[in-house]
Amino acid sequence: MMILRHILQIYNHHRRILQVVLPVTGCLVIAAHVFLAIAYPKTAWCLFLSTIALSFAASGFVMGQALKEGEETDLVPGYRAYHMIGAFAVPAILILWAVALTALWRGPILLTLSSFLSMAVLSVWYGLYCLNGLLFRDNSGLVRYLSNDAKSWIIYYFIIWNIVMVQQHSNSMSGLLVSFALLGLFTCINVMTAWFGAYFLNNLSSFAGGTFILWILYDIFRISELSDVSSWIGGRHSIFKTTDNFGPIVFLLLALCAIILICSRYRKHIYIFEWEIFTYSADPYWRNYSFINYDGLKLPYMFSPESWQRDYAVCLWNRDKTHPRGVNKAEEIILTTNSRLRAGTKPTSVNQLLRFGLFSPVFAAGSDWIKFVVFGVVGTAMAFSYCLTRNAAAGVNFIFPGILFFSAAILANDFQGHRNRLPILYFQTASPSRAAFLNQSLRAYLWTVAIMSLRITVAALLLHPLISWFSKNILPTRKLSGELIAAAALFHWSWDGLAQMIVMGIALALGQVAASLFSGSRRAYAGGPGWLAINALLLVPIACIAYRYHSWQLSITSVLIAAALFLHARRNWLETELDFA
Amino acid sequence: MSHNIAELTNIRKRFNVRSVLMGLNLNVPAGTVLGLMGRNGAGKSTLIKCMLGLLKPDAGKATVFGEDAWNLSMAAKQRIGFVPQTMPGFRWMKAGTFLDYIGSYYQRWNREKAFTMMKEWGISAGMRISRMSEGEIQKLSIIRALVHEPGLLVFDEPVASLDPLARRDFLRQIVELGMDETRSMIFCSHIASDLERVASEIVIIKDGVVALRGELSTLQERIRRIRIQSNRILCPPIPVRNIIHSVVEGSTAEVTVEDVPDEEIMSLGEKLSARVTIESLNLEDIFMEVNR
Repeated sequence: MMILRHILQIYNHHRRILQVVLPVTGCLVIAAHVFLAIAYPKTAWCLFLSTIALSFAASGFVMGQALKEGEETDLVPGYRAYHMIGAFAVPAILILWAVALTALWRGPILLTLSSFLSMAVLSVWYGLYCLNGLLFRDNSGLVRYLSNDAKSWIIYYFIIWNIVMVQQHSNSMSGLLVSFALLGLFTCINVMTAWFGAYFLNNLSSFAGGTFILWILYDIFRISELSDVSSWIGGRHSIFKTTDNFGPIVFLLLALCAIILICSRYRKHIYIFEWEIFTYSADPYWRNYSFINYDGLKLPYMFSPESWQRDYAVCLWNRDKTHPRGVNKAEEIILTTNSRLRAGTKPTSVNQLLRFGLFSPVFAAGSDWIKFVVFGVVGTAMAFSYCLTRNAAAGVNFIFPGILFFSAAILANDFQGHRNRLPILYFQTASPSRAAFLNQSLRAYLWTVAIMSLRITVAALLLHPLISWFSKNILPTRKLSGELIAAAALFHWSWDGLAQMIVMGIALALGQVAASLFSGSRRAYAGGPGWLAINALLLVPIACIAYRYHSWQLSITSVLIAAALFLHARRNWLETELDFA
Repeated sequence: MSHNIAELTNIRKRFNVRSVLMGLNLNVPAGTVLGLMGRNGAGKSTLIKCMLGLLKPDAGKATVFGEDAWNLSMAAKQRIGFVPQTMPGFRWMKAGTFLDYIGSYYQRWNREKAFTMMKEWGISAGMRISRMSEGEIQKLSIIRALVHEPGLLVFDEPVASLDPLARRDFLRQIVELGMDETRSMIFCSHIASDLERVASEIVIIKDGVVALRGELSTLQERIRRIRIQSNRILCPPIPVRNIIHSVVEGSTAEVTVEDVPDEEIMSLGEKLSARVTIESLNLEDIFMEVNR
């Protein structure tokens, strides 16, 4: 207790300094991590170190959140200490997570267990964090409080880590479960959405986007309203009485759909086959294999030579019986895959095959241009819709996670596509002859993670002052300038980002202009009902394009989001009407 | 003998090149309602923040309930209620949720009283703070500060945003709270009439120090305005001690003096061959005179 009190005192005295020092330390450690990743690529300590870096950053954010409420809250007894517990608990958990990650290198079972362990501890911590409110009178208030930025940041970090680290190291099953545990920290509704996102989009890169989209939906619909149980079980509130309730209703319906879909489509062996496929794809034996025909299909024409799907296809279609493990599994996979195609149809193209396949519905198929434009437009439109419906001054808080997810998506795609390998699998099946390749893969992997971390940090540091500057000097509306800055930041990521920016910029500009023409009044302001409605309209063709060229999952998601935006626009409109009145 | 709830000794605070508090001394005895006045930038808010440990003074010592203000214990914080000029954060919360949330930190939080006050002041518990007017937010802030029955209540411009009804209601509550001799209050406001109504002592801050302090009646006895009407042209300076301010125009003069006996004032009539009248000042006038 003495130690804790001492720490409290130190914290209390130096909190403002710590708020700066901790994130800066985090950045420095990230820099050290970059260096180590280059110098010593094969060590798991890089992961450990970077996780600690994140923990510092997260700690700073928690403190920052507490400080954001104003210095007068210093006078609320226990307020600072309470947040300090959070600020110290987060790094503690993250370090535990880092330990777990380090342990991951021994194999997938340990991975899953350690992931669960970490998540379980995180859940306990989260529970304890909420306990203060629970013991007193207002748990819902606290939960709502935590739904503010601090929680978002922590969760974003965890999601990113989850995506980049865990899912890359494991099969989709454990990734899904970890995702499940991760997002299941909040409410059962969120758990459903996590599963909904993970299943519907069922791919680590699209999962990132999916999670973010769901996160947006979460906020748009104010799911926290559900904690106000009294309004749902009758009483003086009618469920249909206020427009606020439309959100939760829609969300419940979505969750119901997700459950139905999961129940109808869930197959235990899906993940086993996925794992096997990954294993095969990681095996150089298959890499050298020629493609073969299946029902007259010329498979080599269907795949990019640099794509990992080639291995999938080799694995899938190869009937060479000389491989000690390949034959039966390959046949089984073909059967399983075929059984999942539409009744009476045979694959007429590999894209179609993959579209109805078991995984990678979004990023595995389709050209780069299509997938980036479609996903880019949907993702960024959602991110900005979200951003613009909130306090513009705090917009950076909401734009940034969008960029974060984008980067994760691109990164994940990078691994799947251009890197052509999941390095950790090599590690797991490593033999001396593969050591060189392993090191090379690890180096690339860690380098990419490090660069991403660095870019994120730089973007965070740059975005906020830039937005302020733009809003004061260049553009009349703070919100629009925020969009453009974010677009520029996206551009930084890759040339694909340029395409995203153009499409997104056109969409946003059209949305803005159309909204102005549409109403010519206060309703036209960015984030207002007109703007939201236009954005929702823009999503309809996107949904069509997605269905035609890409995946029905993305298409449905677009439609759902469009519906959500319409509802939100309607509510916003009603509120504006009230304002006018 | 009453003890001091708060004490500030030789407090100095500087913001960059600007000195705000320059060796200020102030004590707040138990059972006192201290009305704090001063011009904009005189250092009232800085004084309050130093006193409550929200701002660290460059020099001097501040204590509250006998504890160092910068290291207040939980127990001491439990006994402080503070209404800042603008309520911090929490704009996304609903009023009721906000009070419950804050209340969860206090041992003696009177939830019933909080919600009763909300009802009386027309604040809906379900309304988000972000959608409230400034006045409503201020009401909420006041409720937050009052309902845990603090021993020291500090109000920094609390009524500026309140409508007349709420203001009257609030002042009534302050008067009631002021009846408790164990409780002290610091009431910082520019509205002199409010301070006249609630404050047992007035403190006027000027140039970073306490320029004037005392009970209102005492101050009114100490500081008075003399009107002089002579038959001849008057030449400054007017021959009287402790002049705070004087205006001489032809054969008339208006002089504000401090701590000058009636006899000395009346003797001016003979000295200047003039008619002399003594006027009592209200608090606003006193404030104006001190700050001229």
